[in-house]
Amino acid sequence: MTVALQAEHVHLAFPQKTVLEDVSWAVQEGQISTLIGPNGCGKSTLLKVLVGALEPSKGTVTCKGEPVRKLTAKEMARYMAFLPQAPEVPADMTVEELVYCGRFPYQAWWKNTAGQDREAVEEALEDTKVMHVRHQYVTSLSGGERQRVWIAMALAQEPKLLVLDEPTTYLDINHQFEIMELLKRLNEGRGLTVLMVLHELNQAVRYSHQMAVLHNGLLEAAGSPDEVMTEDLLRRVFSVKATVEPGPYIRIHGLL
Amino acid sequence: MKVVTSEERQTRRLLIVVAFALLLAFALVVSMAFGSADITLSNVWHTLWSSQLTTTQDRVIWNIRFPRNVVAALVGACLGVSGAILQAVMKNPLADPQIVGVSAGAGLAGVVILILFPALEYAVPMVAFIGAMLAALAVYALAWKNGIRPTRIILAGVAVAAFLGSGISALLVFYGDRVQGALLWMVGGLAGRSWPQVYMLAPYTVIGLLLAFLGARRLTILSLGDETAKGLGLPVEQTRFLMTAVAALLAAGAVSVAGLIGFVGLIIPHMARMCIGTDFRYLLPASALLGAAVLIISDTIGRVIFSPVEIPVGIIMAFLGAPFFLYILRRSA
Repeated sequence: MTVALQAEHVHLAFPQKTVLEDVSWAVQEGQISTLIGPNGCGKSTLLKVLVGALEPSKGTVTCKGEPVRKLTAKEMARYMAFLPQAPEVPADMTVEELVYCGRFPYQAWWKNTAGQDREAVEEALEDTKVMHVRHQYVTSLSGGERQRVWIAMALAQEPKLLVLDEPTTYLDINHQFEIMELLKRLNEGRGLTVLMVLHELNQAVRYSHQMAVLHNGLLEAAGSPDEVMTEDLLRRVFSVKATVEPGPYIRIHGLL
Repeated sequence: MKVVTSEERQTRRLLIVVAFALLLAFALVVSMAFGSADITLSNVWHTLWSSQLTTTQDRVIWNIRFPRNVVAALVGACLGVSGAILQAVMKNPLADPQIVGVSAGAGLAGVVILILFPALEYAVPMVAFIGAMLAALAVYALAWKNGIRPTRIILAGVAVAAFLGSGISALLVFYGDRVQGALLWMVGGLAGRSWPQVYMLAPYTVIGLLLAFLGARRLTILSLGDETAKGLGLPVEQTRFLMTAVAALLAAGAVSVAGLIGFVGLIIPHMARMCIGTDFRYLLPASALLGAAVLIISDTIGRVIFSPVEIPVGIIMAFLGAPFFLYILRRSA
């Protein structure tokens, strides 16, 4: 199995405090990998370090064996697409126009990419089931549709790896599952590698091949959901009393 | 609900750009029929197509009114595009060429020449241009800390403008007897501008607009926010740096020739955006054409309304611009 992204002994320190301490983790190609942890544990920061948006103070991040900092921004964008937690969009941009923005890393003024652009955009709209709203303003859509549209833009980048920062946080339960099912389908159908930060533990457990748990900037545990999710870890990291039932399924009984 | 396809939206935007171009052509020609010398529209038309200047009217049109309109158009286009770029790059709808220090730099440089070395008045545009670029560099240097952040630029711009403004005020106070020329410069106007100013400004305008249009796609991507733009492979810091430099160049050229005309760079991009939207491939040309047309029309109003006394176009722009500015503020609040 090939490694898509690898962090080795990554430290990140801001003047006031250390955010990441000696984090080593590998994201395998073709899998769904999830980062979890309590608020402020550094998981969004680690995500940004992994996608090259932040430079670690110490340690290296490699993308398919190449140091991330050696790749140009466009090379990175053709390999991985990154969706931030609350992306902005101008009020007058339609779905189709936004999805076309995903083609930016392939465009240059000396190249005619119109044909490939159109193909990639149509496929992305199809796969995320947003074809019917393609001519509407992104800002006029409901939260669930909007999130699918953003995923469509990311797919138009034709990435091998899709990175999402809490893609379900602002959605109702129906749309949360819709997004998770969509990611699963893309993972199985397109062979898309998925890396994301999630808050909902049972969602993470149900859909992930690999999980990593961050706590106070340290990597507490990494592995399959079965290996990672233990009652002891839930107590230590999240300070909750919980039992892990077969499945695995996490039942929270209360605070410690 | 009728569905408007992307193709139809593109066509609509293109038509609006064409409409602005027609407005500019109309303003350029028709405004020449207004003024203290009695000239009709057919005179204007005849002169523009004739190969030699025979009558006085011909000379008034060809040596005074036409080049002045061309300067107005170039200044308006530069300021309009400069403002559109800065509002995008700074992520601030109230950004305009003043915030990169350009106006304050050109202002102080011009006032120094006009008050301390009045004999060197002919050098004002060149010195003002240098002053504008130096001030923009200073704002940059002050705002630079691991890259350029919009808020730091705005704060540095305010600080530099206040600092240089104190210099202007001090000069005006110490040399109260010589303020006339300096005041006209500060207000901004196009009186007496002719072919030499056209030749001076045209190269900056052409180069600046070309660079701006090349960056249009990047500005659209930048409107999705820094994080998304980075994810799409846009070098965000570099884009911000280069496009701010282009905006400073455009604005410096404009103010060095016409003085500190305010509000064009602020309101034109908003007007253009209301008509055409945020796609910068259309918004930038639209801002250029609309800026050019509005400045010609304002200048014509200034020439005619209290004829034979001329109102500097800077006053007209501020008079029309301030209410519009308030309108934007109330709408966005």
